[in-house]
Amino acid sequence: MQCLSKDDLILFYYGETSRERGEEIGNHLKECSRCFKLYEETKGFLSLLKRERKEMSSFEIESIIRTVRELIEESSNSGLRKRLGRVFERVFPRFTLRLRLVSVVAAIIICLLFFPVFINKKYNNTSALKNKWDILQIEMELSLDDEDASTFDVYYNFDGWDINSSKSNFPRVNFSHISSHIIKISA
Amino acid sequence: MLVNKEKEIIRYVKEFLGGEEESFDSLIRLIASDVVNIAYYYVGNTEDAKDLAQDVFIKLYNKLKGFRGQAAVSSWIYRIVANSSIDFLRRRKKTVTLNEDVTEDTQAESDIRGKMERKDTKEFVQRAIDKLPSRQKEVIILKHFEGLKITQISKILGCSESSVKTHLFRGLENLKKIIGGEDAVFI
Repeated sequence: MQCLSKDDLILFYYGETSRERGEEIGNHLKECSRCFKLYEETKGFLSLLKRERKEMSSFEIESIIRTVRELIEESSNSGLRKRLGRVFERVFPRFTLRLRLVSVVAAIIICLLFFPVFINKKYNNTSALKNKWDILQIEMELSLDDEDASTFDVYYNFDGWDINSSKSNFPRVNFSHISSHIIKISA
Repeated sequence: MLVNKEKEIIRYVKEFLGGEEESFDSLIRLIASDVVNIAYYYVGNTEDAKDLAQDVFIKLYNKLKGFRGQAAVSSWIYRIVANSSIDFLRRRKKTVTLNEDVTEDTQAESDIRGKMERKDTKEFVQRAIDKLPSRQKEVIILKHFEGLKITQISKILGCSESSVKTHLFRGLENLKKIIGGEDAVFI
């Protein structure tokens, strides 16, 4: 058998030869000191290249999973942003990106500026109603049923018991008294 | 090694495609160490390898839904890691070139640092691997560090077995020259 090439020795080292070829090379290495020396050199060099495998700790792996999940979520959100951008483009086709951003920011600022004005207006309306509370009170009381109204009458304008018109013990109302009282308050 | 985990990987992939989102986390737990180790051979440091692994998992997440099972999943993952690593190295090369321009004045200091680092054999070997052409590097990583068969590598890289062998022999020869102090002839 002829002496072995470097390539043969590399394939033999990695176990990439056929079984027959492997046996031939093994037998030759036992007989040929030159090829054996070359093989030892090759083996030494290849083992120099070996590096110990690094196993990741569970903490490191969980940290990778967290980051990956965050990045996946981020990329899906950016997809949503793109979709919103496309909708905006359809609504305002002539607007450039900067112009769109400027218009959105301007709209937000205007809303913020006018917000206190709207709020103030709302409260002013309430105070106006408060000023006319007495009229409101009377209107509410007028909407009450007979018995409640009679309480009102007794409180504000009681002239005495109307025994004939009442079947109960509760004082009855004379609405002419109430209406005259309303007129007085309104005036 | 990823190839030894093929069955478990397929199980998690099927569960994930069936709608079980948590199975993707389980898949990461299963292969994180493998992916980081392979990435390390390409980029040469643990931090970059972890970042690269995150990129790989995001790509995997996005591409898994389109995976039709026409190839072994592990081969497919090797391919994603290899492509991502090459992209990463291209980006880093640009950054390093820029940094080199900026730090021209501190060349002497970096030379001293370089000599100190070279005392560490592992670092030196890693630097030597970094200098290899990308195809030779890929083959050496998959053959020497990952222990894949030449037939598997040819499927992953999409080339013939004889081509894989040629890249392996040339790559090892170049490594020997770089480590031995000779100028490598990249053929």
